[in-house]
Amino acid sequence: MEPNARSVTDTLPQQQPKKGISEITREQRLVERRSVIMIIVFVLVLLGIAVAELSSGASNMDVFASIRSLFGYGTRGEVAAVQNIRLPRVVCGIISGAGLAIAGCVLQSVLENPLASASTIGISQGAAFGATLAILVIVPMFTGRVTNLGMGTTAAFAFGGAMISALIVLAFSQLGNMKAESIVLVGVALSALFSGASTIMQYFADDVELSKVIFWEFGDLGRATWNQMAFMAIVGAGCSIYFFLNRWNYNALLNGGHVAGGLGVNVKHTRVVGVAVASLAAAVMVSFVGLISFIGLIAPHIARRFIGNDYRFLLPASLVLGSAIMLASDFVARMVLSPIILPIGAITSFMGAPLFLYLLYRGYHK
Amino acid sequence: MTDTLKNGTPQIDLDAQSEAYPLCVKDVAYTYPHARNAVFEHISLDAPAGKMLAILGNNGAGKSTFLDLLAGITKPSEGTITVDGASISRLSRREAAQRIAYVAQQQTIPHLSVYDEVLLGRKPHITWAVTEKDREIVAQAIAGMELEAFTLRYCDELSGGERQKVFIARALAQQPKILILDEPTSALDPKNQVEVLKAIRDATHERNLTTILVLHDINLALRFCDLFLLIRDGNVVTRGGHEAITEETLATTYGTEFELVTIGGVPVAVPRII
Repeated sequence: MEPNARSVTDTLPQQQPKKGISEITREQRLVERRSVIMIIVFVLVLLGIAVAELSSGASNMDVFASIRSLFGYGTRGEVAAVQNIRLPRVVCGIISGAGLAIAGCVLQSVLENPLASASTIGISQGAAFGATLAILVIVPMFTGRVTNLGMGTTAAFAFGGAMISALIVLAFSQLGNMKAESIVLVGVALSALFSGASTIMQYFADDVELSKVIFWEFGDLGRATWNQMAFMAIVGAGCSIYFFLNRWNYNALLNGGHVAGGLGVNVKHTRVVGVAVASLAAAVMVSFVGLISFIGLIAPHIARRFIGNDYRFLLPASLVLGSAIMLASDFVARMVLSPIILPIGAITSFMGAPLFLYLLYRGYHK
Repeated sequence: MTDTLKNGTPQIDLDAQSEAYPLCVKDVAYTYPHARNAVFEHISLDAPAGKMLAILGNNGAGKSTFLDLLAGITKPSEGTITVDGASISRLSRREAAQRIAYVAQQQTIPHLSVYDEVLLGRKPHITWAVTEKDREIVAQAIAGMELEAFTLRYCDELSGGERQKVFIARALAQQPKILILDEPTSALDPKNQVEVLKAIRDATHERNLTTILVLHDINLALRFCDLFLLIRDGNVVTRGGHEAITEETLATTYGTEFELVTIGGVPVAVPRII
């Protein structure tokens, strides 16, 4: 905004030989090709982590034995370990990581705030509140205290809590005079509200119930059933398709709502539907895997560093990086103190926060 | 630069067939939602192609709001705005953006490369993928603003003058009939002010654009623009060619005395210190 000291460079164009029209296009094509190559590299990294994740675990198998077992060749024990224990974790990690990352990526555009993500606009805390309510109040009401917790019910309530959060955020973003950037502040208030409510419920719970809540909040990729993962995948894919169709709108919104309007974007519609769809994607993922924070914040920001802000390439890059970071975190969580499995939510936060601080220090978009 | 002054002083002719003008504003009023008083009422304007029309007015006169109506970003409370014979309220946002390009007074500086920012000007025309034609138009818009050396630089690394040229290049990449600029020079040093306005004037002539600018610098307006609309608190003071700018109309518009002198054949308005 302020005319900075760089105005010296005004005289540069005259000194440099002028580029022709074809030269400009050729240069840009190289940049776009570079972005595509980066995305392919991310996919390869993801595949590498997935193979590592598949071939590590309590039963010692080398990489080849693991891959053989994945396709059903091997001892019954090996096949069972890979197909029934490791594979679901990997698939769940890929789906939930991708969903959380792309939701964060879109929220950052439509709310015009680099700090927007499911955990900063209150969606995760809403889900935690819903899960706490289900585990401490709803499930015991129907089944008595001693039974195992019904994961389906818990997920449904977590989803409900997350969507309540999302609807309040949406209601605020609809109140015309509220700046898009301030929506994150609504999220801060909602997070405090939901954590407070969860704490009060937990205060009256006994040790067994409390541990169930705590374990839900730790986050776990091994929790979802195949049917639940199919549901997550369908919702995630649907939301991602919607986001891809809107990639030009998100690029235009980088100029602020006013200019985007002049470029033919229906700003209010793009914003409200964007927040709604992103909240839906994030809510579904969090409901089935628990509180795994920072993926939605960090995956898009790492992608921005490699690819820039062009949403044509940023969306697929965030999608792949989200999966990769999720799997890498799970890998670390399982390997550090093997055979003890650390809570993945703690790992993403523990590794994510310093990385995020580093990105902030370096200037998050440069 | 004096050529615009010698080229006669075209009138804004309200009686002529308004279909002949690319942009016709009839009896437009705007009231903010929940506000009691209108920002302005009964503003009419016919803007010809290939000319620069300056809107001058005091702070808070409603100039920026008026530009938002012209750009189709907000809808007028009353009256009609016609672009190329089509009512702007009947056009979708995308259709409006295919005809009208808008450069805001202040905008978020995106962390996009100059090329990607100018490419956004093609957004109203792109259905799925960027075509060869789009790329050619973008490259020409960049070259037209002499931004070749900056193609891959980021907008937020550029100086104010360079950035303003990028935004104008983006607007030209829209291939609009109507170009609307809100104080395009207010943050620029004199060299950049002249460069940017020259670039806008060249584009206006080459592409036969209907260009409408809000300017605060009366003298820049007098040197670069052909037509003038003077507004005081939402009311039209006067309109017309250079003859419309007199000490009296300026005094009414800005609420302070002006002295109009001629220096080197160029009229210069100087506010009197009372």
